Amino acid sequence: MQLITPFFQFLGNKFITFILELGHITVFFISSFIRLFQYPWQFQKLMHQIYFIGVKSISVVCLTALFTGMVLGLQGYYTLVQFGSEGLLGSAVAVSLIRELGPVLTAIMIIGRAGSSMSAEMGIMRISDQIDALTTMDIHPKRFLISPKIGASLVSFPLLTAIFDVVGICGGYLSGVILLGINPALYINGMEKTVVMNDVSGGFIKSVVFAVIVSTICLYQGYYTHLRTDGFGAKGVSFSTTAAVVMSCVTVLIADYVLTSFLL
Amino acid sequence: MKPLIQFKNVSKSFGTQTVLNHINLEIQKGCITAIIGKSGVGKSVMLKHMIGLLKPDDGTIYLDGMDLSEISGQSAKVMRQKFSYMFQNMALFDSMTVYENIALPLKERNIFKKNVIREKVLDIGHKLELEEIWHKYSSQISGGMKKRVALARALITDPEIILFDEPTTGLDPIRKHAVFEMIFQNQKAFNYTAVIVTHAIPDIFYIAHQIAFLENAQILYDGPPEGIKQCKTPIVQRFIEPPYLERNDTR
Repeated sequence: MQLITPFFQFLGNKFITFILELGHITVFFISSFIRLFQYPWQFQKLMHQIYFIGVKSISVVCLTALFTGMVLGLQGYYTLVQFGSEGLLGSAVAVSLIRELGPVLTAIMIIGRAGSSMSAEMGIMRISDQIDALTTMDIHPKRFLISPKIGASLVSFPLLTAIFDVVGICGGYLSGVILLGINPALYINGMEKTVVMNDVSGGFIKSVVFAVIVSTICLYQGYYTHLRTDGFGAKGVSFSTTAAVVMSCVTVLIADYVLTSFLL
Repeated sequence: MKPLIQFKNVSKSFGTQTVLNHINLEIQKGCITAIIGKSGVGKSVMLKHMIGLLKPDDGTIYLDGMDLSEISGQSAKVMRQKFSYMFQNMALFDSMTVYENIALPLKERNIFKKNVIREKVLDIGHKLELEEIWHKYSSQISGGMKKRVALARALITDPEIILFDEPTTGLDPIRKHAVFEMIFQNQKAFNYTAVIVTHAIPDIFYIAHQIAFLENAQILYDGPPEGIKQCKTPIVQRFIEPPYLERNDTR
C-alpha cells in the first residue's frame, strides 16, 4: 500500500498536468485562430508565412516524396510479383500515398523544416522581451505573430500533401515502370480504378488536422518558453524547440491512427 | 493633487525572493520621476507593473484613480495607447530594419497614411541621428545606436506616459547628455509624464522632478532631487556619493 499510493498519486498528477496543458493549447489555438479574421486583415503577413512554410518546403517535400514513391514501387513490385499481381502496383502506391504516407510524411517534413524554426523564433522573441514589447505597443502578440502562421499552415499543408502525393506516384512509376518494366497502362489504370474520392478527401482532412496540430504545438512551445521549469534563456529555447518537434511528431502519428479509424 | 500613477501597498515576489514589499509611491502628471537604486533591486519590476506586464501579488496600482487590475476590454486598449515603454535590453525586432522598428507602432495602429508615418519616422530619426542606419537590422548596429532606435520607437506615438528603463546605459557622455536633454525638452514641450529607471547620477537630478530610491524591496527616499542629499540613510548617501577609488601606485 505504501508503494501503490505514491504511484497512483504520480499518475494522477501527470494526468491532471496533461489535461491542463491540453486545455491551454486549445485556448491558445482558438484565441489565435479567431484573430486571423479580425480587421484589418493581415494579408501580406499571411502571404509571407505561406512563402516561408509552403513554398520553401516544396523542394524537401518533393525529394522525400520521390524517394518514398520509388521505395514503395520497389518493395511493392517484389511483393506483388510473387503472386503474379504486379499490375496492382499503381493502385498500391497511390492508395498508400494518398491515404497515409502523403499527409504524415509531409507533416513530419514540415515539422523539421518550418515547425522547429517557428518554435525557436517565438522562443527567442520571448526571452529578448520582443513579445512584451508588442504588448506595450498595444499590438496583440497572438494576432501579430501567431495567427498568420496558423493561417499559412492551414493553406500550405494540404497543398504540400497534394504535391507529395503526385511526386510520390511519379516516383513509384519511375521504379515500377521505368526500372522494373511494368506496363505503364497497368500502373495508371490500376491507380485510376482503385483510388476513390474518399481517399483524396480523407488525406485532405488529415492534412488540415495535422496543420492545426503542428502549428499550434510548435508555436505554443516557443511562445511560452519563459514558463519552462527545466531551462531558461538559450537553453529554454533549445528545450522548447526539441519539445515542439518531438510532441508534434508523436501527436501527428497518434492523430493519424485516430483519424484513419474514423475515416475507414 | 490626484496622482496619475499610484502604488498602494504593492508587493511582488518571485519564488522566495520578495522584490517589492508594501511599496507606496505617487507619480504626478506631467512630471519626470526617476527610480534609482542598485542593480537587481526591482526597479524594472516596478515599471512593468505600471504598464500591466506584471501583476502585483498584493496591493493596488491606480492609473488616473482607476484600479489597473479592473481595467479591461476597450478601456485597457485606450490605457495601453497612453503608454510607451523603452526596454532595458531595447527589445528591438531583429527581423526588421531600423526604419520598420520605429514605424511599427504607428503602422499597426492603422490611423496614419503611409506618407505621414514616413514623415514622422524621418523626423524623429533626424533628431536622434539615425539617418545613416535606416536599412540596417538591429544586429548590425552598436549598443548605443540600439538605444537611440528604442528611444525613437518609444517617442514616435507621442504617448502621455513614457516609461524609460535605463535609457542611457551604454551611451557615451555626449549622447547620454543628448538623451536626457531630449527627454527633458520633449517633456516640457509635450508635457508627458516620464518615469525613468536609471543609474545616471548625478545627471538625472538635473532633469527629474521626483526621485524614488529603492532598496531591500522598500522605497527609502521619495521626494525632490534637492532633498536626497540631505537624506541621512547611509545606503542612499553611499549610492549618490560613492567613495572615491584610491589609486595605489605602489603596485
